This record gives sequence, structure tokens and C-alpha cells, in this order.
Amino acid sequence: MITEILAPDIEIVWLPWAVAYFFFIGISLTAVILTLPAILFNQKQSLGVARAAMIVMLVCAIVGPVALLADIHQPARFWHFYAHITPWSWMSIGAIFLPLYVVASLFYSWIFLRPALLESKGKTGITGAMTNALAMGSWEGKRLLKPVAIITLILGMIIALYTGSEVAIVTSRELWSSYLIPVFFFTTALLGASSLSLLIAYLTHEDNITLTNLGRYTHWFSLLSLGVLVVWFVLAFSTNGAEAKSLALLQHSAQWQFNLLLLVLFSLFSTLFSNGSSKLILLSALSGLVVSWMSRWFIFIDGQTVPKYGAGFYTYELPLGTEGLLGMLGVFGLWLFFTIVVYELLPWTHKTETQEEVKS
Amino acid sequence: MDKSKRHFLNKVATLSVGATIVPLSSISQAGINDQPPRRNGQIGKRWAMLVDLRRCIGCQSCTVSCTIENQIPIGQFRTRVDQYEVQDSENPESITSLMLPRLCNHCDKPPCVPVCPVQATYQQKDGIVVIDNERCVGCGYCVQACPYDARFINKKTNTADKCTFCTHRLESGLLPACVESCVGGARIIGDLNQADSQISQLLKEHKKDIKVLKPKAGTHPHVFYIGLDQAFKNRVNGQSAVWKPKAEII
Repeated sequence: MITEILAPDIEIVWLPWAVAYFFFIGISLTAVILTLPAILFNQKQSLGVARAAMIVMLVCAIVGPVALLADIHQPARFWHFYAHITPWSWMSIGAIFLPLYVVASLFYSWIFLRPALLESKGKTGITGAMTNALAMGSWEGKRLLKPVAIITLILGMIIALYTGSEVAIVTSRELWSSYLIPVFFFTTALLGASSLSLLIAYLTHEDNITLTNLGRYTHWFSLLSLGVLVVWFVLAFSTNGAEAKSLALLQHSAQWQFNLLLLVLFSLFSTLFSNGSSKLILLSALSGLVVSWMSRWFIFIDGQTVPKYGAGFYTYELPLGTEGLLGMLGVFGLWLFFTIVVYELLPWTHKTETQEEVKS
Repeated sequence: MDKSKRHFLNKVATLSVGATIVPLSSISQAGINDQPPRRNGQIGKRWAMLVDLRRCIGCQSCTVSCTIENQIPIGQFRTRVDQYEVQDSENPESITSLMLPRLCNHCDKPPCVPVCPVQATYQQKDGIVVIDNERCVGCGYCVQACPYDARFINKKTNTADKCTFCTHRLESGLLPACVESCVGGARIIGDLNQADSQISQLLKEHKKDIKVLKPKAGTHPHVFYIGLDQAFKNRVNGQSAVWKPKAEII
């Protein structure tokens, strides 16, 4: 038997900020998909879903990169990403496409809102000033909506590919080094996007059809995420790959077992409650968000407590300051702030010609 | 069209397309996550280290001298000596100790290098993996990619940090601080490209007993060990007793 007598405890380097980045950017890029039935396929009953998903896409596309910037230890040097482009590094590829995606999502929501902005032109007060400033001319840009939706979708999928690959190529971490990681990130992001859109739709008084639709999405996305977990376990038991090595770690850590149990439980809550009354649907949405957050927390934070060479696990305690609890409260506060600003100052509920057209 | 004319136009087209792509192709010789070209360092050399575990007494002189030489914050290490107690399963009375000096392996295929998004970390032509900490953004991606926990984010500089084989000393004809201070002479550094160097001779002499950490990781480490038990080749399967320094960072 081997007992470690002296070996240092190594701190994690991807902080909870990284969890926040992957959480928000994943939700943003999958929210683009939720807008498509109404925008690309003119499904009138999906317009409410598109409105809620558009708010989610827009706000999360702003908050995600802020969290990412906070995660790098030299944030003022972010311009180095562009001064030294490195085509063989997934992170560098991501640094090129991330701003493009953010701009595309801002442009997409702007084009979507244009008819409403034009109608609201001339109003007074803060909202009026905002809409006047954003209207920028009297062109409607209806013809741009579908192409911009497709461009935003493509850029979003590139972000999904880079975020997943960036983690999956790290062969030194068993939990990360799996082809299922990009898939799991994607399905849990979809779950997060439908859950958050559901919450926004409820708070912005969208109709019952919208809530039911989003409830149905949440139902299927949580089942899909559970399905990926099942495939992971099948691989873990039937192959000798990274999944099997992670399973061995799982057997040694009560913390990991507890995390997994919570993940499965909340996924089940999210699946089961999604067809119930509006209050239960809300519970389903909250559970979906917990799954989306927790899965990333588990993969990143707990994943980094595995020594690459030494025995056992390193310790991690959530710091109370900006590198931990305060930082996370801050980033969720930022999300809440931007959601309120975006919802209150922009004419989301305005019945516009385009929206009416889509409806008919 | 005249054949030669067509040929000429073809060439011109290829050249003009080529000219636009040249600047890109020069930096994209490596595919995603492939090793980029090595740069700087001493041409013609391949530095490596041999650690003779039979000579290590776990005194941590190397740890201390490295920390002083490279001014590493307290609680962080470019090199250290991990210590293990090994109990014979068949004869529980028999307990032995293992002192395992650990440092960057300056791998031939370092997974930490291609992941760096700003090319701040790179491998020199002499095999030493270094970091330009004025370029490093502190993203920590290299720390994740290293399979040996040899990298960390320096708390003072907020950039990635690791052993450099004391390349600044090697270039001045000095030994790395850890080698210089090792009381047992357990650490030997040298140039593998020189057949008569001490390290080349020892590697040849002890060929059968030479091991590296995680040989199957595909990294081709260049820190070699003499006297490393099979049980320590890969991740240690045992009881952990991690030590967390309580001292404040000065």
C-alpha cells in the first residue's frame, strides 16, 4: 500500500468564472435555435418562444464574455489574443469567433426588433430616447432577418464546437477527455436555454401556448441530457477510455457521487414537472437551470480537484470573494441587470407588423 | 488556347493565390492542437535531466534553491520532492520510503504548448519548454493540459509558471539551481545530442532501469528516473495526504 506523506495541494486555475462563461454562452447560442421556428419557418405559435429566447440569447451573449474576461488572470492583456493569433489552439479560434457571435446576436435581436422600434419612434421618456436612438433610419430590414438568423446560428454552432473541443482535447483530465463532453455541454445548454426562456416568458406574461411549448422543450432537453449521461455510463463500463477512468474516480469520491445524484435528480424533476401546471412548469425550469449550471460546475471545478499524478483528490473550498461566491453573485446580478434593461427599454411586447405578419 | 499560354496563366494564378496565402500558411503549419515549430534556445542541443532516485534523500534542497533562484511565491513550486511511504502487502512489517523529485518533464511532445492561445509558451530548439510571461494572458489552459501538474498560475505575476531547467543559468554555463544544490548528486542535467555527456553515458549504462512518468501519455518526457518502481509510473494509487501551506503570500 502506498501512502502519500508529502505532496502539495494544488489550487484550481479555471475558477467559477469559467463555469459562468460556459453556462451563459452555452445558453445564449442554443437560445438562437429556439428562435428559429418563428423566424425561419414562420410558425406563428412560436413567436412568444422566439421573443423570450431572443432576450435570453442577447443578455447571455453579453454576460458570458464578461465572465470569461474575469476568468483569465491578466484580463487587461485580452488584446494579446488578437495580436498573436494561433490557429492551432482551440482557445485562439474561440477568441476570433466569440466577438463575431456577440455582434451577430446583437444584430439579430436588433433586426428582429426593428419594426417595433420604428413604430415606437417619436415617443418620449427614457424608452422613447432609447428606441429613437436604436431605430437608425426608417428601413425595416425584414429581408435581413432570416439571413442574420442563419449567420447567428452558424457562429453559435462554431462557439459550441470550440467550447466543447477546447475541453475535450485535454487528455490529462479524465473527466474532460471525452467525445461526449461537447455533446453534454450542448444538450445541457439547450436545457438551460429552454428553462431560462420559460422563466422569462412567465415573467413577461407570454401566453399559455408559449409556456406549454417551452415546457415541452425543457422536457425533451432534460431527457436528452439524461440520455447522454446513460451513454457515458455505457462507455465507462464497456471501454477502457477516459470514461472508464473517470468511473474509477467516481467510485472513490463521495463528493462526485453526490454531485451525480443531484444532477440526475434535478434532470428528473425538470423532465417530470414540465407537463404540469404553470407553477410546476416553473419548478421544472428552475431544475433545468440547476442541471445546466451544476453539470458545468461538476466538470470544471470538481474535475480540477483530480491530481494529475498524485493520489486522492485536491481540496476545493468556495472562496467568499470575487474568485468565488461574490463573483458568482455579481455575474448573476449582471445578468439580472441586463435582462431588466433589455426588457424594459426595448419594445418586446409591441405588436409589430412583422410579428403580426409572422402570426398570420 | 495555346497550351503554353494556359500553363503560364495557371502558374500566375497559383502564384497570386499563393502570395495571398503565404503569410497564413507560414503560421498554420500545425493543424489544430499539433505541435508548432520550435524557436529560440541553443541550436544543436537537447537538454534533459536524469534523476537517480537511489541518491535522493528527500532533503528538499532542490525545492528551496529553486524557489530562491526563481523567486517563486510561497506554496507554489517549480520543483519539489514528493514523499511516499510504501508498505509491502505480503509483509506489512516492511515499510520503505520513496522520495520522488518532480519538475517539468520538458516533453518532446508537450501538450501544454499547442493549447496556448497566444504562443506565450513554446518549446525552444534545445527542447526546453518556456513561457514568455509578458505575453501570457493567464488563461490557465496550459496548466490544464500538462499531465504532470508541473504548471501553475504564479500568484505574484498572474501568469503561467513552470520549471525552465534554469535556462538562464544553462546559457551562462551554469547548472540549474536544483542540480547545483542537490546534496546527493541525484540530479544530472546534460545534452542528449552529445554522446559523451554524463547524462548520455548514464542513460546508456542504465538503459534497462530508466523510466519516465506516464510513459503512455504520448508526451515523451525528458526527465528520466533511475530506480522508479513500476507502481509510480502512472497516477499513484494510494492514500493521499495533501499538504496545504498556511503561510501568507509575501
